[in-house]
Amino acid sequence: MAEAKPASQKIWLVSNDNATMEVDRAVVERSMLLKNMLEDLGGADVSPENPIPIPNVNEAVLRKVVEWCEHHRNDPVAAPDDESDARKKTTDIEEWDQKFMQVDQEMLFEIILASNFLDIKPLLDVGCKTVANMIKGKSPEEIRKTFNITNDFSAEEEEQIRRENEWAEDR
Amino acid sequence: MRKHRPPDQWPRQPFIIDREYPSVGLQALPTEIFLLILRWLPVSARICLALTCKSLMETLFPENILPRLAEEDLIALLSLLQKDIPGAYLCFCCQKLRQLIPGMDWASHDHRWNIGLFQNPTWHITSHTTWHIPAPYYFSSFKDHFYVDFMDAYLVMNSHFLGSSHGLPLESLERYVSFQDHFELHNCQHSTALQDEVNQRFRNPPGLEYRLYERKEEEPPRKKTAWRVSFRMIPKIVDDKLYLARFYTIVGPWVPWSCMARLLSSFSPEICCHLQCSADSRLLFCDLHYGFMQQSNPGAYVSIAPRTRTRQRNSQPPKFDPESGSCQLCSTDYDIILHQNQGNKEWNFRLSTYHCLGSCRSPQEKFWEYLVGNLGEVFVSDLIGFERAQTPVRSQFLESHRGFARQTWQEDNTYVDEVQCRFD
Repeated sequence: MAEAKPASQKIWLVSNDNATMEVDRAVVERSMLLKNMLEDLGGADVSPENPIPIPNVNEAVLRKVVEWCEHHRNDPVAAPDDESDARKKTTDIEEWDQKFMQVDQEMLFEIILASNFLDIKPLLDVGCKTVANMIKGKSPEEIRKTFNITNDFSAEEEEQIRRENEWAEDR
Repeated sequence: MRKHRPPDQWPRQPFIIDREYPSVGLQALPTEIFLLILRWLPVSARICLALTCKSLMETLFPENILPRLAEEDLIALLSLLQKDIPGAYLCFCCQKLRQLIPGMDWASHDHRWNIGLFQNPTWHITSHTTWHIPAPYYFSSFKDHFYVDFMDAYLVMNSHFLGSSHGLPLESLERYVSFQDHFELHNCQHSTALQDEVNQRFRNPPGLEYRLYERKEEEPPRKKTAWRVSFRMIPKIVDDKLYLARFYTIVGPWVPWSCMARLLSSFSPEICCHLQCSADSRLLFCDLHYGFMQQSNPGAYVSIAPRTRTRQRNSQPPKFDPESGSCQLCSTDYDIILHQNQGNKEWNFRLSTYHCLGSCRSPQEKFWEYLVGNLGEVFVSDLIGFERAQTPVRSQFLESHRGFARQTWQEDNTYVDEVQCRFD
């Protein structure tokens, strides 16, 4: 039996809460982890009854990750050493990705963890940039409020830091 | 040939990783991801993050020693830190956080002048005044009200963005000053050579009646033969940008046009740093500098001479068309009206200028820089439209804002005031 063409071949993934989803191989291969695995093991034996398990990622997060991979299925794959200056310098995020990342913080961090786990570098970058943009332009107190961080510095310690670093005028 | 493992040998739990993430949140992220996020943050944001709690301080700066910052990063950091300290503001001049003293403005503090990024600190419109009539010696104190310090504008916008404890109220940028005096309009003086003599001669001339009327003070009616000169500045904030309207009015007796022209060209009411009004009739003046200045600063004068150059007859006042326009070098729009009020038998001159100062977050912002900046080399490159690397052409930037300051200020009706009404 002839093997199906890799791009249109269907792959089944199962989340850690046992939700199975059918995804094109080209979409799945946005994950370098799954791409390498499929290359190593072949995908022909993956079936609805024998899906690839994705532990640590629940259904909601996995669906979001697959949605991102679907949208970016035709993006050129960056070379591993392609840490180009342009990508490094700017935290600008393209419009679709910005909307995609408009989720609650828990989902945002889950997506970041899942993209790290599945080795989807561009999605990991978008997630990290989103968090960076949530920090940029904020004072410590605003960052605390945004991320629900408890301030354990005393007022004296804060004053001492300002004094030691000569940030405030004594007079 | 690649050898595939049969499905029954697939690792069923191939992706289990050792670490258990306790909960999802910034502080719970694995270190490698946290470091990836830091890669996108400038040093000022990293320090703010470190200042949120001790554990993040230890993660970001294990020795608890924060780095010495370059000037630009320091300003960025302090502008963020000021938000958390009630009553604090970033002083660009000292490059420190300072406490506002209630009831006092920025200039009331002692400051350490760090030049660096704090360039163009003041919008001080200095005109190339040539006195064709004896100068009123107090005129400089009248003009002292015309300048705006960047920090004044910054603190007003601080109050707008961060809350009233971090800045000054919008009203602190209001100005109103006025005086009445008699001028010897037939006395055509050469300004530079006779200045001292003029000052001496007119320091205490008999019958001089003048007084600077500050804002809110009752202004007496204009005496029949006296001239009243007024300056008013009204600030507004629209869409997070600061706008100023300045109204310069001169009202006086119905004298011949040649005398009025001398008065106007002596006062040379300033439109902005790059434009001023003058009466366009050199023959009326003794001063030769006028012609020289006009040639060396083409376009620096907006003429308010009569449009119809017919000989003036006894009862036929010259016609003046209102002038409206925009400066090509900054965000200033202007309207000039000069007419003879037949009923009151008086001259009325009014210069209205409208300026957009931007959000005033830094003296390097284009709006402020263009408003305050000297022409220098930029003048030539901007005018001919030559685009230098990473320097947007000023004319292109301003083209999109031409008329914008006037329209925005006039359409915003948040400020209604009896003095403003009186001008209208």
